[in-house]
Amino acid sequence: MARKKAAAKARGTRATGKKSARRARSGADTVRFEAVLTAHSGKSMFAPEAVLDSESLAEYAPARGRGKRAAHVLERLGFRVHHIGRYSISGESPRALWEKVFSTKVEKRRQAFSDTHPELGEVEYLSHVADVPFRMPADLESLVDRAYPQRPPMFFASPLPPRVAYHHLEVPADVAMVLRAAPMHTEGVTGAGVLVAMVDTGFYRHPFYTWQGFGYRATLAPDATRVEEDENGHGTGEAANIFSCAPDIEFIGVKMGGNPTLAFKAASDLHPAVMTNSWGYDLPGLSTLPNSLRPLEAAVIEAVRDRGITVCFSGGNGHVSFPGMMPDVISVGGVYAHEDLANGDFDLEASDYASSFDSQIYAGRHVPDLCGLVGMRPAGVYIMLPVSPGSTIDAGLAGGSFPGADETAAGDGWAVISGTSAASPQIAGICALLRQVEPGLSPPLVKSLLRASARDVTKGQSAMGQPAGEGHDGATGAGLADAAAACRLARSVQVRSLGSVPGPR
Amino acid sequence: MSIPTVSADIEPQPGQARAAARALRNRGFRVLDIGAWVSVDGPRTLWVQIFGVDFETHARPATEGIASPGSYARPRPGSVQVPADLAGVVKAVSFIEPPEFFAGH
Repeated sequence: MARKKAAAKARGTRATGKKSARRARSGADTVRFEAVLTAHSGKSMFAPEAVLDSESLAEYAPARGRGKRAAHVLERLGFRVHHIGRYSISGESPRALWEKVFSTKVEKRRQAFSDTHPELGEVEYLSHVADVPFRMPADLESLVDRAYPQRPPMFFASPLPPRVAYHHLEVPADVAMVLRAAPMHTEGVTGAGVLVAMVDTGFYRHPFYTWQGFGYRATLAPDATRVEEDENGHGTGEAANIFSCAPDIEFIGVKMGGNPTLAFKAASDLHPAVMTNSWGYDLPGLSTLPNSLRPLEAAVIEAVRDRGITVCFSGGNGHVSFPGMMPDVISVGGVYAHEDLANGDFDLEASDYASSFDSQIYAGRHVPDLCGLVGMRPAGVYIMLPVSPGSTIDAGLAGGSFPGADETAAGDGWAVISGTSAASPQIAGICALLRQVEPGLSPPLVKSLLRASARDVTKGQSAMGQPAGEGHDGATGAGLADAAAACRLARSVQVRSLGSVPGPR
Repeated sequence: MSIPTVSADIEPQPGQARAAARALRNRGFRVLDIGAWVSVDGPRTLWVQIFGVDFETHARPATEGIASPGSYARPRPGSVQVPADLAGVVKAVSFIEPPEFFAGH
């Protein structure tokens, strides 16, 4: 049933995509151009001997005021000017005007909207006809060196996921539905106004986020560079899980450099309501925390206890994960929802890909607290997520067949992944819903509400072999998150400061 | 091409965080954050020169995590020595290892 709904949704989305391609075609009688200004040096960047680099670029700069004068003339001639740049003017004009002013001819050409999505059709654009003269009018001759119609770009990553034939979940709709966040969205509980921070590998500006209208922003840790590059693809993809549960959050991704503690502190310094972290350290067999991780431990404690930030960490994929094992955090494990229904819910099973364990470092601490959605062995291929095209994850899972690979193309900007890396941001999104419903909730109370409202998962076992069973269990903790039930519970909670609680008699 | 750097958190002597940061910066380290610990990074050669660190290259198996680098510099146990002229401000050095990313792979 979930699959049918997902397919119907996907069909609807694809129809929207075709409309966008048609919109592009309707603009094919407009020339979108760049007019390069004449340089003060008299040199032309189009000369055969011209080499543009950081040292020579200044030689091709126009004289002061030339851009404005050229824009004025272009507008007087009937062109629409969008932007006056240092070296060129961006604008557009009707085809007939272009051909008349420059005594030239343009012709329609076509190219694929996306070479990885041929079903999206083609876009048309206007380009000069070869060997037809082009004459600069006299009043532009001293101002504009050359002017060229601009060809539309090829979109290497589509906002639409590719089709695959096996059971999987799509973002945002399927994840929101299975975690029961969708009913809250219809009530206006969408995470609006709640700041959620995510520390990860980078945050590529995937068109998925733009087309969905999500508030997807990123910044750098002090030792990181190139904020929008995500060579790995991990951060770009996993962030979609948060928006699935809380589409209207204020999101800030923090790209980490060599020191993840520094990135965590940078995110914490923004004082978000919620932080999510799909990373950690594997510490099997250790009963004391290595000194090298004490700073990270301190930073997590400061965030939760001193700043009141609800901090989620992945519990690991067979890892004995730190900081996922810290008592202060919400430790997130994995449950797999089959496509069939059973007893009024999806057929739920503990993911054999996700961790569960008792910490030897923090006495009495069991991982996980509760679960999000995670796939099964061998590779956790489960949720279709947008990643940077050609990234490690995009390429790494391509080229094979399910369940060992995801059957998407290596450079299409989509990958079917999960792990508890997906589960932690899902739970973070639900935390944002809770904070919208009741802004005064403390981190421990958020955790209690999530656990108290979770759905029991009674079958399957974790990566460590702990079984699921009636009630709280080793494999899934309290079970699979239920966003709607958690929000209902949050509405009934009366937040009280310690000062307002009557003392003992 | 940028020189690979090694990151570490410095535990300062009590009340000496800013003094430690200043001293490390003066020796060529990049100070990234000053809090309970001082986060710094610097070229591997600088760590060898100032703290006498004996690094080994640690290879991480591909199965440990999809985002983990193939290898990284890790100090051999007991090879870090705080020099006498920094001992008044630096108590200990903790080197940063790259984390696991818990995606499916």
